[in-house]
Amino acid sequence: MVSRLKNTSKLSNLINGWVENRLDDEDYITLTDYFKSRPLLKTFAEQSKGGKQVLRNAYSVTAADDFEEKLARRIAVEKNDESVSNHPNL
Amino acid sequence: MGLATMDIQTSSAIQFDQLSNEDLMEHFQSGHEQAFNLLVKRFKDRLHNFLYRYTHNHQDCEDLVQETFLRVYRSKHSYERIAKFSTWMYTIALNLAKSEYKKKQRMTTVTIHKDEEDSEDRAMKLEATDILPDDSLHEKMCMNELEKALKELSEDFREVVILRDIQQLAYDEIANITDLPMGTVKSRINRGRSQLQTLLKKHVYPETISA
Repeated sequence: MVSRLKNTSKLSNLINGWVENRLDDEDYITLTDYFKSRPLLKTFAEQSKGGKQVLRNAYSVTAADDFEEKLARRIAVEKNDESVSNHPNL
Repeated sequence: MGLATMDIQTSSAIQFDQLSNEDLMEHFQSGHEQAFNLLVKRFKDRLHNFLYRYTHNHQDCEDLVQETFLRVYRSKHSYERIAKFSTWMYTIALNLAKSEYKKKQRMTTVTIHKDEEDSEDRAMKLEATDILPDDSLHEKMCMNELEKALKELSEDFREVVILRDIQQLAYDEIANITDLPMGTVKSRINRGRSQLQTLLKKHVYPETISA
């Protein structure tokens, strides 16, 4: 099992899965066994999980109520500029 | 029915809100502005949430979101359905954010957030040379700890962590947006999350592990 995890790509996948709680039973057991002999790796994975949770719980930034209105005005100005510059008499 | 054969006059009968983002983009390319408006509705909050992590300022963030949508509007014909619409749009947004971030770094200023409970207080920017190297001064700054940690996170880690954990994009989509191999994306996400947590706790671990 341990030799299987010497492939860093596989290990990275397993840690991603562990952090995101989406490992199947077999992979979960493989990784938690591996953690026993690699305490620093376990610390790293736990830190990673903590960082993810902080972001997931972070407050959400949303658009202002008049965002669409302001965007529509900018688009209208741009269209107007375009039609002026494409005017045959100019 | 192919879009090319669809008469614009039938657009009122189209149930735009039930279409995928990619379908909406094709309708927009065919001249239906309503489809663009719906894409704006779908993505305006997500883009604000994404770009705020780069600007740390609501006005700058709104400007960048508007600029992103304007570029989508202007460049509608450069979108090809081989890519997901969100991947294409996030690539535009990320490039804008990166160039804005570099511009800001050159300015070397730090934003002092206003105290929300003080109606007379206002956000301000200080030149870096005005900041004293005094920890207690930094502690007094009303900065959100998470924003501060995100700012400190290296750019390589920050972009993938934000795309994954705030925007909740799939790994393959993040790989396309950042133009990185999938393995690098996964590794950077792990390391970025870990570094973020370290920054938040203000601990420094002497050992580093590359996963």
